[in-house]
Amino acid sequence: MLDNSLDNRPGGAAVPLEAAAPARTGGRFKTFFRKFRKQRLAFAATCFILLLLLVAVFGPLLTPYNPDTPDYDALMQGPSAAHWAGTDEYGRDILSRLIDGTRLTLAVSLSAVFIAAVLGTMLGLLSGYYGGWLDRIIMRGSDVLFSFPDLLLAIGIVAILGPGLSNVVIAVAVFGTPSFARIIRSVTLSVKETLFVEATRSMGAKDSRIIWRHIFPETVSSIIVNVSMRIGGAILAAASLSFLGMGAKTTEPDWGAMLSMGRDYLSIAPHIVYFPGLTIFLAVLAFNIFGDGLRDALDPKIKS
Amino acid sequence: MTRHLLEVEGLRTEFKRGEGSITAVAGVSFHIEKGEVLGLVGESGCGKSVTSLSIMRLLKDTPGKITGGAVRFEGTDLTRFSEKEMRRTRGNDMAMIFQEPMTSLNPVLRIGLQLMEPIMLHLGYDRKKARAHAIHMLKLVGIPRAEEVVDDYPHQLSGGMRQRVMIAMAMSCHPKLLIADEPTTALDVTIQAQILDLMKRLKEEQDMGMLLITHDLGVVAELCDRVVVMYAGRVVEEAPVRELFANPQHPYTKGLIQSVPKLRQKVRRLDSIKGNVPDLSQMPPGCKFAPRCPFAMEHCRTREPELLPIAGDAARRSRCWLTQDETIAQGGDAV
Repeated sequence: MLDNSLDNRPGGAAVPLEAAAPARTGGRFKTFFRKFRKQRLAFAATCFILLLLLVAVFGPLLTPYNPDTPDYDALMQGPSAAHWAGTDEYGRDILSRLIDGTRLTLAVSLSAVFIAAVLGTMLGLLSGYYGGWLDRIIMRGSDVLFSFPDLLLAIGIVAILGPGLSNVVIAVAVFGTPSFARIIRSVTLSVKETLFVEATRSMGAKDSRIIWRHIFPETVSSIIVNVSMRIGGAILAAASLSFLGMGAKTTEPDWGAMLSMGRDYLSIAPHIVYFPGLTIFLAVLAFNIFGDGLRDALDPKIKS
Repeated sequence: MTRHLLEVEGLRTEFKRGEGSITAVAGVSFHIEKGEVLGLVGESGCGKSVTSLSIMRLLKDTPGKITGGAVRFEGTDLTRFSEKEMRRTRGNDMAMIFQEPMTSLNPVLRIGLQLMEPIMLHLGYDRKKARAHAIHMLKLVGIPRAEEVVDDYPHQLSGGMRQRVMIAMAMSCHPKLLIADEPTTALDVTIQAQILDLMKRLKEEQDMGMLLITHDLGVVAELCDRVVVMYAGRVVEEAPVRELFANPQHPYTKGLIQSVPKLRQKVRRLDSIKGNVPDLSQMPPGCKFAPRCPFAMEHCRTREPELLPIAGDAARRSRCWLTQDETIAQGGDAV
């Protein structure tokens, strides 16, 4: 990249990279897209994620069977032409349930990560910009949360709030927040020192304006990357909680809950576990690869 | 006595470091009249920039703190202002230009937006009117194609152009005082001359006071009416610009002027002042310049002279035993 040389500012944010690109090439997005497409694996992962999103949106139209209707003539059947992924212990079509569950799984993980991103970004901006006692409180608070293993913390939170998907969202959001806060704080600290922030302050700008107009845009690329990296983790965490019976009810077509139900029949009908497990695996993998690819494409320091 | 535009009196700024603190500005006093350009001169680390940041109260993000003195702007003491009142003053009554035009503009925002920000804030214009005013300001500072440049990003402009944009921004709300912290240091010489001419023209058109911080005596001679020379956080000499160059009183000023290379002078080595600025945490007890001063006397090393008017010239002040009554210096072994 030619325009890498123009960009030696701290923060490694994507926005300056894009700004440094000549305007006539049609833009920041093109540059980003060109870099991103070069990574085949990330591109494939993106396609898979788009597929998941489409399935989530159009789920009810795509299911070959009603996911909740039991068929007592076809209990625990293996994969066949009629039932591509087989049926579960009530004879419900597993593929239909997986398709139906996509919406639930994505909704839970995306909203949890979204809440964590919003909360973490606000805390990080405040902490980095104002410093002092506010910074100390926020950072020590996130240290406390960091000191727990993620899943243990989530289990603890669900244990306090009670089981249910909305509490899973809260739990996953809570343990996602500190990482956002720390990342955004560090970007804020470096942007805050730049001369253009001081120049803006010397023109009488308010703190809130400096934060939103000048510092927040610099943090956006870090936020995007961290969001995409954490979605995989959130899917896994939500599935784990459901598996442990702390999330979705067993009647709901949640991937984790399906896994949990199939566990009892592992020896006689392993496909009940295989397919949900495989789906979770692929979804988490896709989001992680996507996040890595995004980071590489957005980070001007990494040459393509 | 008439009211000055800006009067800095006994300003002290200290920086916390570990347990103790370092005094970067130790009792600096000067004043600026309306329509006057005051040069603030001194080598790196003598407290020039800290003085300007203290005047603007922009030390919030540093460990620095104003610990004494007053900064009176049209008679009101800025050091007593709340942060809110100070915000209303910054950009509106007094504005600042920084040394690095390359980094003083946000690289991801269009120039127009950045110019419009203070206009909308202080003058209360709506977007359309603010944009028109921004274009007007760009024209005023001599930017060609102002209507197009207003939609450019900073990286599309050269350093000189960016400094013009910064000047346009600083001038956009018609400040009464402009603080320029080494406005031409980062530019090449031909552009420097253009920017200095521009600042001179704008100062005359707008009739504002200017505090020009620089270590470039050429810039001082070009632009300033009066000069304040700082050394180690103190004012060591104050004089009208012509008299300062014609007849410098303080040995430090003499050294500064001598170290400027002159045309038609056949020398191998340039003159310089020997030694370095003293470490702010380990100041010599007497005159701060004594260790480097070629004229230093015995009492210079033990007692610090006051900044006093020079006999026979009320406009000039100097902080040196040489220019002061020898009886005050306890009849030391004067030269």
